[in-house]
Amino acid sequence: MKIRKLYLFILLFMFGINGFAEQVTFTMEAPRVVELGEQFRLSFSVNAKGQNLKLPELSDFDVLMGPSTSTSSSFSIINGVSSQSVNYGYLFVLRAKKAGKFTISPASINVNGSQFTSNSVTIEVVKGSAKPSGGGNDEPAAKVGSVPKSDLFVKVILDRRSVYKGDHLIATIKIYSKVNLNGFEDITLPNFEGFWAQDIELPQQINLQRETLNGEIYNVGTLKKTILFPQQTGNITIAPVKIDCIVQQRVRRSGSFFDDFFDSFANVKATVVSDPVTVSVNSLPSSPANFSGAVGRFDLSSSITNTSVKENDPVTIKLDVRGTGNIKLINPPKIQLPPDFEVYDPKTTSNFTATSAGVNGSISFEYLFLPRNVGDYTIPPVDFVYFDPSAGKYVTKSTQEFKIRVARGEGSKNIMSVSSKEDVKMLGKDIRFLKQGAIQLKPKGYVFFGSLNFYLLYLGGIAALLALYLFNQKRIRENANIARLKNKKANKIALKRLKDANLYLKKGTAEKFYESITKAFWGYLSDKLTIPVAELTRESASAALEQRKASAEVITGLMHILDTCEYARFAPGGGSEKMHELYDEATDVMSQMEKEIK
Amino acid sequence: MNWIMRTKILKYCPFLFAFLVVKGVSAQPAALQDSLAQAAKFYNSGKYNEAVRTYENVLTRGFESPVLYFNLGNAYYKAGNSTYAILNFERAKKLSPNDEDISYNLDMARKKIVDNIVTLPQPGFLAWWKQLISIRSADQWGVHSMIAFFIFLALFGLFLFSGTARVKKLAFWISVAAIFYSAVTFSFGNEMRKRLLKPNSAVITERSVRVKGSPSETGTELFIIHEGLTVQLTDQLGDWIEIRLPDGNKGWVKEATMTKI
Repeated sequence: MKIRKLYLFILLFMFGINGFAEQVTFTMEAPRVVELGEQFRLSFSVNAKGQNLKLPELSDFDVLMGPSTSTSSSFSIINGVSSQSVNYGYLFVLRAKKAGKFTISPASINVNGSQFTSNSVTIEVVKGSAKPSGGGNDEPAAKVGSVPKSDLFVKVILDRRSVYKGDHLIATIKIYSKVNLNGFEDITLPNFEGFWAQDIELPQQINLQRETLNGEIYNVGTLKKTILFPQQTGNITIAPVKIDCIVQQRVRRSGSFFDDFFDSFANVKATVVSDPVTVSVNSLPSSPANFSGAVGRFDLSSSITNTSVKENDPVTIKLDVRGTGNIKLINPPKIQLPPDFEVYDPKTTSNFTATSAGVNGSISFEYLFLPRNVGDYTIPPVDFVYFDPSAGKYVTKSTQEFKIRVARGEGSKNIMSVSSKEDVKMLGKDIRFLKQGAIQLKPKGYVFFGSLNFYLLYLGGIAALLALYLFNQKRIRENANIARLKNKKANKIALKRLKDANLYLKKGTAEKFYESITKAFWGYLSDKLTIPVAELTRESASAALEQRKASAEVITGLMHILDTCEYARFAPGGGSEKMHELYDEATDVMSQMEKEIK
Repeated sequence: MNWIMRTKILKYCPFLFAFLVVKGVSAQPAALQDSLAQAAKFYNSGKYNEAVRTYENVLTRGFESPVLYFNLGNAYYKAGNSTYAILNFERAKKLSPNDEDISYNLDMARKKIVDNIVTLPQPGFLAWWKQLISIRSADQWGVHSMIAFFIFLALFGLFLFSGTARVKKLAFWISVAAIFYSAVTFSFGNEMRKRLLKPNSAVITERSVRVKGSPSETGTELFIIHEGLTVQLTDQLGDWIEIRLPDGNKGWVKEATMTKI
């Protein structure tokens, strides 16, 4: 028993601590819009016991009542964690003195010796409508079952009517009511065709707030807030919203005095439809080639996993785009990788939240690639081009340049030998490059064909041939003269040599004698037959003589003399008789030859 | 002295001669070569408009060359002016019909123009014959003809002077073939020269041209053609020119709408 008490005590103590551990919040609340002369509440709430509430200046308002205080506390156990909260409320009833917009500056309160200040609120005071304020008795009750259009309607409110394609606009669907709205039965929301829509998160509960529209106060509930990114240009119409509302209406029974006090209520179904709204979407100015489709404001950062790898090791380059805009619709920027890198499709991950300021977040592109060959490679900066709608122009952000060193990997040689040949990759098409080297210019319209030079060349060729022919003819003639001359002199020289031989015969010098005879005949044959001495042999001589129609007798005679001379030169000692005989024969053959050969 | 050697000298002599003649023709101011080098530098650094201006400058000095037209066409192409790229490639092709690079770039430039006209197929033999004539320029045919003529002369000389009957016979028949080849290529060269001196085709340089059925403003409008199209010129009346499209259609246009190749 004692122990349980102790537990309880500890528990309570802990709650107490819990209570204190929470931050003190001190808030002020008031309706946003009031009518002139209308009573309204200004309430303060603080989640701890406070003292000495100091009200701000309220000179524009009459304080009709207050403060009335209230206390509430709650205790909850959620998933085994218990929590307790207390709330102290201070309530004032005010009435506005004049129309206009007033800001009530923060109030302050002392909690446990420290001072806390509340938020400030702004109250718009409008001139009241025709109906008298105060008791609701005389409210003009409409016919049961129908709700006037001016009392309940729905609106699609766009923050902008004209945007660039890809820029965002915010559509807010609000219901305006002057009647007692009990609930919604069926809400048909537009599907925002032509837009990429991103809902902004709203509290589940639809809270009605007072707002003015054209000087009238309505209870306004925000049903939906959506960020829209137009996907096409031109006028896009947003389909109307249709809501079936349940309205509580007073049913007045006629006749009885008490009826005024004891009205009964009936739920009436009222259908409201918004007016369709149109957005005019302007196309973007002519875009650069590498425009990513991004519209908004972005920052770009990039990183690489590794800059020094081995062949076929994967490398990832990551581009991070961070900012506000149509993040989900950004195309991956083109990355210029060396052609012998194997590239995979970029992996895209996005993370964003939709707020009233637009869609904010980041998208990252991861490019995985495998360098296939050894070498030093440079990956040029990647350009990310987006359109900045507030500046109305394209902005380019670039990453840094990456240098990758690819080293030879283990076992890569095997891979090389398997696929050593590759098809030539067609990377693009372009015209052939300029022709290099010095350009041989010629005067315009000059054609070598048919020019004077052209014909002169032909003539030159003919002239050369003609000259050659004439030259040859002359040479032939000259040669013929020489032969004739030699022919003429042949006999004379031969006779002179024979005379020499005769001299040697008388002297008795056999060797010289035979030599002279031989010379006389060879020389004679050479000159007569126009055959050089060096080419002259017994066979060629006899053949030439036969051609010249010399008689067989002469030829054999000649051969005999030549043979004898040859023989005698190498085996001397024939005696003078034989020499005389030979001399006589030689003179005979010589004179015979001279007769027969012309 | 043997005759074979003499004929050899005879054979080479004209080449030497021809070389000297060509060298003499191509003498030109060094300043032009400098501006050509400057133009190539502009092209390499991506300043295509400057390159165009520099090349055009050389042309206005009264000189031309297939390479010059080719490079100018390239500069126009890169500067984004396909029409003038086509015009200059056509001019280059006219001077040097068998250059593969020129044909390739001309095809590339033609892909960028508006009109896509299917070329009318010509009757087989005629097309083949025209094609055969136009595979070499006038000067190239001229050189062919001349070399063949010199070979003829050399062989004829051999025929005259040779002592051997077999050589004589061979030289005679080859020399007949050579003189025949020389005559044929001469006629081809003459044909190409005529084409060169009398322009028979043009490139449309006006953005879009209405082709009329008769040489007057009131003529029936037959069809519309666009810039960059190469047309054949078939007739002329005042400042009206009758053109023929590659698909065989004919009509009249003003002379100012085109630039002759």
